[in-house]
Amino acid sequence: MELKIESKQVDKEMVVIDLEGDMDVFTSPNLKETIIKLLKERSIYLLINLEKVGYMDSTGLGVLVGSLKRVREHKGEIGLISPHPRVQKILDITDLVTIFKIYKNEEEAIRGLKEGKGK
Amino acid sequence: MSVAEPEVIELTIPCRPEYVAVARLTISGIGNRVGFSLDAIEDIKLAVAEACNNVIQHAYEGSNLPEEEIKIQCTIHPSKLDIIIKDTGKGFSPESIKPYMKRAVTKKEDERLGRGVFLMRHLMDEVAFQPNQPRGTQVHMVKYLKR
Repeated sequence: MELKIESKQVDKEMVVIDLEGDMDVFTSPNLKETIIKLLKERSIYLLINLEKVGYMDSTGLGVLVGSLKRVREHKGEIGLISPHPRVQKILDITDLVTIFKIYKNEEEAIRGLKEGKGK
Repeated sequence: MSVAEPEVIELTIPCRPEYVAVARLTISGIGNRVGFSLDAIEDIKLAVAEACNNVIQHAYEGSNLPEEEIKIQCTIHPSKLDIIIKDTGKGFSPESIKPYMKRAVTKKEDERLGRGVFLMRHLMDEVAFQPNQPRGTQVHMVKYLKR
């Protein structure tokens, strides 16, 4: 299954990335490239919508963790929006819930990351 | 359904990322035939995919991946599913991954192997790595049917 990636700019530094499909060893590199491109364009606050990602493997997790590391080097942040229950399970068992900010919906995520800006 | 005698299903996929989804789909069908719950089937799919990912990312470093293969053997028992995933790559010491069987890897991107192995161990009832003959690695995983 493919991974559809659509991004929309919220403000100069903040982008919502809507994903749909599987985040696996085949599709995750495309997301990594998209995020690197966004970072080069100075978008350092990334909101990644996982509501329609029903499958994620360790490669997908690696892209999320690597991206978090990159944006934090630029004083930015990543928020995950509404992970699908299967993905939430993987985040829970790998303990990655402890390093990501997770929000229920896009509005809450935008508000949360804006409040956290510069902290 | 109930199966009196073990039935064996074998799948060979090219050692390339785009074929891992084929392995997942096949495992999903087998899991459904055995009678696993949807959640258990998702666990098995991910564990098999992680084993394939490890082969693709680590077993054949420096060689021509399109020429390599991953062999997946599933044996359906009345109360469990046995899965063996084999490669003929460079192999590694099973001792070297023991730490990853017990703890989650969180913050280091370059520890993908560790995270994948941890997931396999967490999602399946039994996971064992051993050398494949004449070369490479075998991963043996078991999921029991909980009635």
